[in-house]
Amino acid sequence: MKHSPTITQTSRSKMQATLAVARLTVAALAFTAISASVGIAQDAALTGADVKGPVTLRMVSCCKPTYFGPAVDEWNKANPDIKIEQEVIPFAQLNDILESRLRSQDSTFDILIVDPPRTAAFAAKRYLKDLTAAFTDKVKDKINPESLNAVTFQNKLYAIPVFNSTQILIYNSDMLEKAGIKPPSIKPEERTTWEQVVADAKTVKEKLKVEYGIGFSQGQSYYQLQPIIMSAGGETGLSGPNNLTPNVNNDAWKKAMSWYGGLFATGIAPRGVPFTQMDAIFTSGKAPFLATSTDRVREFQKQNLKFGVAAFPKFAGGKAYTPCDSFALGLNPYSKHQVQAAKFLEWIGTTKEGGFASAAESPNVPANLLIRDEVSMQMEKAGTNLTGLTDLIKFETSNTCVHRPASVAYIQFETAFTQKNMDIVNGADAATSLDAMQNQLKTDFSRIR
Amino acid sequence: MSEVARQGASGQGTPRKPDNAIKWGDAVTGYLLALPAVVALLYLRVIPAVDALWESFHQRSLFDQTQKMFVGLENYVFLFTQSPTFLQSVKVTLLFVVLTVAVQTVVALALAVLFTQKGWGMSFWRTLVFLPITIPTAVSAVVWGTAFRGDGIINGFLLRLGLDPQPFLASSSQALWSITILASWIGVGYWMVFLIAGLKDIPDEVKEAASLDGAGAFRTFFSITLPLLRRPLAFVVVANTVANFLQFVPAAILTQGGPQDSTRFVMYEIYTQAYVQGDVSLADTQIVLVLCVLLAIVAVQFRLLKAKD
Repeated sequence: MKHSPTITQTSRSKMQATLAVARLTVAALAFTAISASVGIAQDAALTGADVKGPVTLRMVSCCKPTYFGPAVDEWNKANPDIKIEQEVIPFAQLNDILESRLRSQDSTFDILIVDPPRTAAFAAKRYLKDLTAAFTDKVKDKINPESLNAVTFQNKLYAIPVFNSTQILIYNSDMLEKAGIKPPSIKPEERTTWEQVVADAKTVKEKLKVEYGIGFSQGQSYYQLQPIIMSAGGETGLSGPNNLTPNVNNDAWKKAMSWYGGLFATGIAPRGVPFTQMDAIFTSGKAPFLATSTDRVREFQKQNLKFGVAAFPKFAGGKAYTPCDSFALGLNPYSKHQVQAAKFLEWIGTTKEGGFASAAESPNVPANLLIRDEVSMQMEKAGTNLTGLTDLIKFETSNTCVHRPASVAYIQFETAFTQKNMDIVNGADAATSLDAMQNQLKTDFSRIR
Repeated sequence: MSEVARQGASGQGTPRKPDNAIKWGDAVTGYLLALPAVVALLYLRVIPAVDALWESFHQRSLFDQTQKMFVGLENYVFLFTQSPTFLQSVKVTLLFVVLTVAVQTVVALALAVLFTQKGWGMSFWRTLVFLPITIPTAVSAVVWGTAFRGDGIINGFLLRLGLDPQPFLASSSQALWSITILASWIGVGYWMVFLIAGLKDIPDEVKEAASLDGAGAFRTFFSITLPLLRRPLAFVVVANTVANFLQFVPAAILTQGGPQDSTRFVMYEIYTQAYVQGDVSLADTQIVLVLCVLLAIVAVQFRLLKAKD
């Protein structure tokens, strides 16, 4: 009996403790449920509907201020209540900066530039606001379906495509004429081959004593190399469920990358020169050919260069492919002004005014169908020998366009590719490098949970 | 004279209590003055380090960074047995540190000795050597990157001399050396300043005595200057080792760790894991390992310094 009170007290304490735990559990469950429901509610609706008065939105953009600058300026003039400020980040740092800021749930910016192949990873990490409900009807028939497809993940739309892109071969007409070489055709059905381009490049290099034969504007990137690899018979490099199985060391990949490395080993392409300088190599007359994207057409026109445009080559006996997709705009899921930001996205992506404003200084192929052909026609008319450019762009973006693989592991894939590609350009054996890349990707992907 | 003044003047009869009160007051002031530094140290160094250690025993979901599971030593095992890049990055970093610290220390010492001699325009030359440290590393990297290009100024110079152009950053056997040159160009002037201060602290009398004893310049340098310069020299070696162990910018801007991982410094590897791969747990594991290596280096170097005392 002596210990009874203590036992009773202990029992009471235990009971109280149990009750307290139970209360805490219930509270935690309730909190989780509330949080979850809030989360769903936030997912369904855009924030900022209740905000009244002028707002200033911040847009994280990339590469060149001119990509979105004219559109932002025009928007700001017409919409004093929704002002946009642009923050431009170099492409090389874009992913790292966005990863860092979105991981820490940074709400200090509202709109972000989206590189389409990264949509899957960003969507899976919840770095992009789901725009399906807000935009599905608005974008129909106004934006290139291929471009929309590239920013759609698991049937949900995560960004509004602004630009599309394709690749072309630009040549120095004077140099080809002096070397007695027939220029390659702009017509897709008369598309030249890589074998022919390299042979012509060698001829010009030797006859005119120029330093190089061909430059590749984005020759470090998977974007420009993917169509070359696929024309050699390769696949995208990622396959299987969710595109998480690497396949980059098969014969076709090795053949294509050995060929590419060989161009630099033999001095046809410039080794040791950054790829950002390739345009300058061409414009300064150091190489007769430049494999590049369509936005260079107007840039070179502004420099009063004499040049011609040909369809992007394929390998003899291979199929023709061109890369496509370009920048889109998405909403920061942590932004407090999504309603206002969505208005800008709608204007730039689905109206003629917004489309022309975005194409003013950045004449990439617009994803906006309302203006695509008109912009291409403007480019074609501005040149002396660009007849057929509009048809070429239309054909390539509809028929030979190949998307980069939609995978949550695309960023790892692209990073590994760039590193191994640079090794190959700098003289490493292509087969060995691709074997190493295959192993590296397998190991990296094994940690994805 | 008041009582208090008298007590103070005689130095006698001062009560113990006020004395203690003054000491206690001093201690409080001292602690208060140290508090911001301690808080900053805790907040910016200790807590993140402990956090990284805790994180290294977990793995976060790539898709939901708030979800993490305890994996014990799995991350460490992965780095040492499976990671295709981690051990390579450690090897590259150690080689770079040995090369760069040796080059920078020897050159900085030589320049410090030279610039403490009497001669025309020494201050001007000293300023010129110090200048690169005032330029942001990123800018220096871009400038040197242009110079190292296949068609850059260095190859132009080599061609003029009738020599073959070199690939520099495009070669897996030359890239690390090229970055060593770049890092030394930046660092030599900085470390030189510490050594100049050390050299100026050596009393002239000691050198004069050595001279009277018949010691030549060579003997004076090795028997007098170098031993008396041991402390600033040890500081330069330790600080330089740590600084170069944490080298990041040239790899990020010029080589992206290549060619063939020959410039994949450990900090670049950590950055890649955290911000490209999005694998924060693995990056934290690497941070813990780097921290251990740095602590070991510093401990060994200070121990060596102490042993020589």
